Amino acid sequence: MNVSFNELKSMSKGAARGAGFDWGYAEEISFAVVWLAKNGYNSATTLLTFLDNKTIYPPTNINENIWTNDKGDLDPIKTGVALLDLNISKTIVLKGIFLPLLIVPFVSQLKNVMLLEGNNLKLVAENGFFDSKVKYLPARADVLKISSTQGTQVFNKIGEYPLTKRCEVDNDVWNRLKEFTYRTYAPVTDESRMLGAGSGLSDND
Amino acid sequence: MLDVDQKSITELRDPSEVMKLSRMGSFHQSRLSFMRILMRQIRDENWKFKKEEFNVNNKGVGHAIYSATGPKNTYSLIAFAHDLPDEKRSDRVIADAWDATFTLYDGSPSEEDIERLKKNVPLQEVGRISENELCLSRANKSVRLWDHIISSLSAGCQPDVKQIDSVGYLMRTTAVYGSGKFGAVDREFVSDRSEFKAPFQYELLSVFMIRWFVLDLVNHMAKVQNPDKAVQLDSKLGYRLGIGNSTGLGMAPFLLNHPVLLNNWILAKETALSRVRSVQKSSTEESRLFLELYEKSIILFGLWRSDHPLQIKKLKEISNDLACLSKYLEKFDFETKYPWDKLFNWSKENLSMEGQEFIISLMMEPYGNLVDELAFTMSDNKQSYVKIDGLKSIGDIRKQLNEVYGWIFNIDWECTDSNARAWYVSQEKLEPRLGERFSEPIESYEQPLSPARDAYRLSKDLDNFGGDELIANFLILKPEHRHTIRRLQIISNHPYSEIHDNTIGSQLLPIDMLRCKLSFFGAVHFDPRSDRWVRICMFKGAPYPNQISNSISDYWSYLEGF
Repeated sequence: MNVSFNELKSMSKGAARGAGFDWGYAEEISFAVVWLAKNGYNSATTLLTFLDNKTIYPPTNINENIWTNDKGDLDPIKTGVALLDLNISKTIVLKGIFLPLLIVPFVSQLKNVMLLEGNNLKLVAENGFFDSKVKYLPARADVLKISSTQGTQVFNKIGEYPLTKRCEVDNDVWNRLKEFTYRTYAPVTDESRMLGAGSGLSDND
Repeated sequence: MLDVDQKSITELRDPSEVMKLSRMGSFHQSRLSFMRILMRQIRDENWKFKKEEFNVNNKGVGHAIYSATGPKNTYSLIAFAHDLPDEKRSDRVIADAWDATFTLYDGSPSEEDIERLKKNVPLQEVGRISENELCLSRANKSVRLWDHIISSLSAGCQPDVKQIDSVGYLMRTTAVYGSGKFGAVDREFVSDRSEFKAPFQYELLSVFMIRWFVLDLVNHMAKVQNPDKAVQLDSKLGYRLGIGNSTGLGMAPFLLNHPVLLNNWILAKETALSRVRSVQKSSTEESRLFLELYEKSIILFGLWRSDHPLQIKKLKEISNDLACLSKYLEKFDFETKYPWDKLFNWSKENLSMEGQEFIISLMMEPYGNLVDELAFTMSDNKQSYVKIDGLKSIGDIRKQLNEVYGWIFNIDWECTDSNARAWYVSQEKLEPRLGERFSEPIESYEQPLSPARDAYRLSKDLDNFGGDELIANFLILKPEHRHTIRRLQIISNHPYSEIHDNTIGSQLLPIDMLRCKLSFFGAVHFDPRSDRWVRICMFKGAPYPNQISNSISDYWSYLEGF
């Protein structure tokens, strides 16, 4: 189905919350999903893959140069958010990252224009993200190096302008995201039915 | 000639004074209300309105199209009229059928567009609109007034003015959905058009045109009933009819969810007030206009009815205020230096909050030259992502929190009353609701609409960390505070962005939040139906789109045409 970015934003935030993320992360996730959609990626499907995966972890050592978590692959949202929180400009190596595409929106917000290189991908900021070589990003990367391209002339910062005004989402994906969102809704009780919206007076006049 | 002394009084009212819900719930419409801004714009730009099609049958079923053309763009209201059985008429957003449904189309629709919209707009929750549509809304009749007007007009006479005034509208909308809802265009893709620089302009344009359609529909139905005898509604009576609106809890969280927008609205209004208070000398014309509109306001207050105890109390207060004010104004020397500042200070000492906020809106009226330009500072069109500055130290954050949220420490957060309520979304209706935290099973579904409580919790957890630690590190360990840290960083740069009250306390009146928002829309006649929903009237006193000319008064909302 064809949805507006605002619908995608609400759905992503609700689904992330329904999947158990704190509200602050749910906000970050909805930002990332919309950013990617505006740049032509089918990010709703990526979000669903992300929410379905339970075995990813935040980086434990963000004050060092190699970020990792002994328990397993890094969570791309928590990693991307930490990169941005720290306004990283030095080179950082991520060891084992799930859905590396999801850190790109956060890297795009860094002050410096960054280069992302992995064992099977390379995103050069000045070429934008629509180089056919990077149209598809792998489900995981063993290593992802993030470094500043300072000194290189960059015409457009990546993802600066939306490339599309709408978002096509697979119906099944949308329905699955709805199921996640549904978990945030409270079941109805007699009391909520009577009082929750403050009804009790007739609507008609 | 303009005589403003910027040096003498430039202070804006403090957020701790303005951002209390009791005050926000007493706001009145003003020159900076979005309906007023829209009307000025369509007048100044000489917009053309046209009834393109009116295809409604004898049962009142069909569709109509009205166009609005500004300097650059045309917009079309497409109205669908339905035959709704009485038992299905409900203002609740969760209803599934209405007397009329509407969309505002970006441009002039083709026949295919009409067919597509016919299949979708009346369905509401399951219907989809597209990036060619700006908004979607639906409305129900006031059956009482509708029947009275139809029976009068069809019998060849005009309806009773008292009955018109007692309701104030023939139809009331439930919600007007924009911002991409139901598949409509995202605001960001149209907000750079000059006609949409101020907030909510296209939603209100659609309401303004709906009022025209409703007038045509009532005249049409009267004629159907008695083709030989029926007369058209007298235009003077037509002015008295606005479009009603029922607004409930769905809108209450808006002010909390859009802190920058809220800041921009209040900042514009407070700046306007400060400018007017800085006027050193009022001209005779300005004072005369003020007094003239004051007299008209007294009549308007006389028409304001409510059955709700909260509003009845407020109306009593305003009635006392008006008596007191009239006496004061009789002897007031408008020749005095800084007359508006003097009046403002007097009102603070002598009037209720309703009265104070009324006088603030009224004293802005003669000063379009000082106030109107602020309309274009009221949007937050970028609504861009706000990244957290994680390089701030815990010590910095603690300091910032104490500066902007100092007031939260006056609330006893350990007390049950302070946490009595929780905002949640109900599974059945998918709409925001307010519940009792300690007696309903809702806490685990709580929405993040209690910034004061959350800031308090943050402050407690910050106490367990050293002042030099980076907030980025804190957030890895305590992700539950992430939304509050972001909010804190937004609030710190926007003085009027936060409500300085507990939004989950037992004393919370959600209607205060609704009234604040609706006053900025330009609504009048607030009639709370409970502590959680309110009826209002829009565009009452305005000319109809086909009467727009460059001679329209700025003061239509004071019922100039009556």
